[in-house]
Amino acid sequence: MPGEAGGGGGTDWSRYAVPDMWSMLSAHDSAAHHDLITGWRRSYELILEHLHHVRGYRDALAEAWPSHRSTAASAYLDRLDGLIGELWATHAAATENHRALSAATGALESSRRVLERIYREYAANQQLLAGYARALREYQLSPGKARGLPPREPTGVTARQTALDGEARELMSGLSTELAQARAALVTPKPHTSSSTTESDATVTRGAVAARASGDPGDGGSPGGSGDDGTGNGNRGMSEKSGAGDGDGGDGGGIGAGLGKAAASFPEVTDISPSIIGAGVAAGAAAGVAVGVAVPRRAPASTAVIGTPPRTATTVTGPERINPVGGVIGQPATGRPRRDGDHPRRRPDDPWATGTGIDPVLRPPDETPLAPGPAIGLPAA
Amino acid sequence: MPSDDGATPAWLRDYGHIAADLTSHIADAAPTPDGASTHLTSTHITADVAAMEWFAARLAADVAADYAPRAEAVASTLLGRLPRPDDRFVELHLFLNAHERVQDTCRRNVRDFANGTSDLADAARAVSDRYREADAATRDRLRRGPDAG
Repeated sequence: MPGEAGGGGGTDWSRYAVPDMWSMLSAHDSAAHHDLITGWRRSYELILEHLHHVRGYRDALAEAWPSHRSTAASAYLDRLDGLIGELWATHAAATENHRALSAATGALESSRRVLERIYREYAANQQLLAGYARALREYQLSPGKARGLPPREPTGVTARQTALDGEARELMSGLSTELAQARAALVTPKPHTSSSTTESDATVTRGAVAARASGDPGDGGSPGGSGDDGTGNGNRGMSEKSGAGDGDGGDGGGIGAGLGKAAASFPEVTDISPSIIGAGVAAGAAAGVAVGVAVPRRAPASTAVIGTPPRTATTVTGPERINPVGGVIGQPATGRPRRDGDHPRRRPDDPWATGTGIDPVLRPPDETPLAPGPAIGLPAA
Repeated sequence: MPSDDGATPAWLRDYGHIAADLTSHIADAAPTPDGASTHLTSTHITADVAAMEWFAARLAADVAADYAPRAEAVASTLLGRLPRPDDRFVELHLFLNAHERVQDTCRRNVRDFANGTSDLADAARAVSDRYREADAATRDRLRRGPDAG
């Protein structure tokens, strides 16, 4: 499970040998990465082109309908400027994200190439060592007279394996750093809002933008995603910060916060009832629960207050009664608390003892000598 | 429009040509500048109604013919998902998760800008229609004289 690897929150590469590390990268396929890189490039190119047209429209309209002569024109141009700002922000985000994904993909590809070379050498050395171990075992099992010379251990192979492990760990640590930097460089633009902006991608958009009625993983869950990553989607202006656990309400956790299979698909948290905010989510995060998993809406407790912890048995007050210590259920707790000496504790070595002047209700059975009976081969007593 | 490096991407070379064709009839029919301006002196509002209408139509055509089809294609590309990595590789997991989130937001924006822009074009067209109607009504009343109801 991601997040359990330790190592200060990231992957602890010292725990892994070359074959383990190779198994993590061997299946990497860059084709999907390059498709998305193209998608990012086309995004910023298209938005920039559209931005140019909208700006031209704005300038022309401002002359035909001056804002200083009409409050309606002023309001309209404000809206238009808002759209231009969003276009620009999304263009900038797509540009940065294109750069970040390109960097991450390049790092993955180059690391995979180097690791493959390391792995091949490591595997060949392992075969040598396995052959030596087999020959040594046969030598030890063979009879003394048939023994020839003992097999010779391949020189320097074990040391080389250790060196290869170290080289691979250094390589993967560098890759981890590059991926963390790429994640920090990702930028989330402010979502566009307009009167007819779709809340769901399933909504049919006008013009030639035919809506996809289905198959859009962006709403309600994205396959293979995770709860959250600790990046948070909190806006630092437009940026997604890379620090651990600095996200918005639904996020948090950080690298070591228990990101994992439980959160292997991350439906967007859209259904958090107010009673959970500040209580359930925080409690879940504190407990290391994988955050980002949709929290079902729960009926708030009648006395629930937003921001207060959920009521538990330890916080019950008022007319409700609790079973008094040493008392009887349903009876008011009376008397002073029990102290040591009120009821003599039973001694483990003499469980039948009673207090002075008190007849025991039960008595222990009389002790009888153990009669083992006759034994074969022994003289009768 | 040149991109950052000054060159128009090949796939956007014909951007704007279709919209120009679609709105050419409006430009031909547009009144002369002298007759186009509507000066509502009572409220000091100045609006070139014909120009407003033309600009709005041009923007709407631009969205429908040029932006929207390309936005749909780009959004489809951004629907793609990267393969899931080994669970033990925490940094790669985190990167991919963060990337999916920004990917979804940007994809929605790319698509929603079509509607957002189109809405504004429609609004400008509606305003110009209202101005034109008000102008016509005022002219009609003036022609019929002060006693006209």
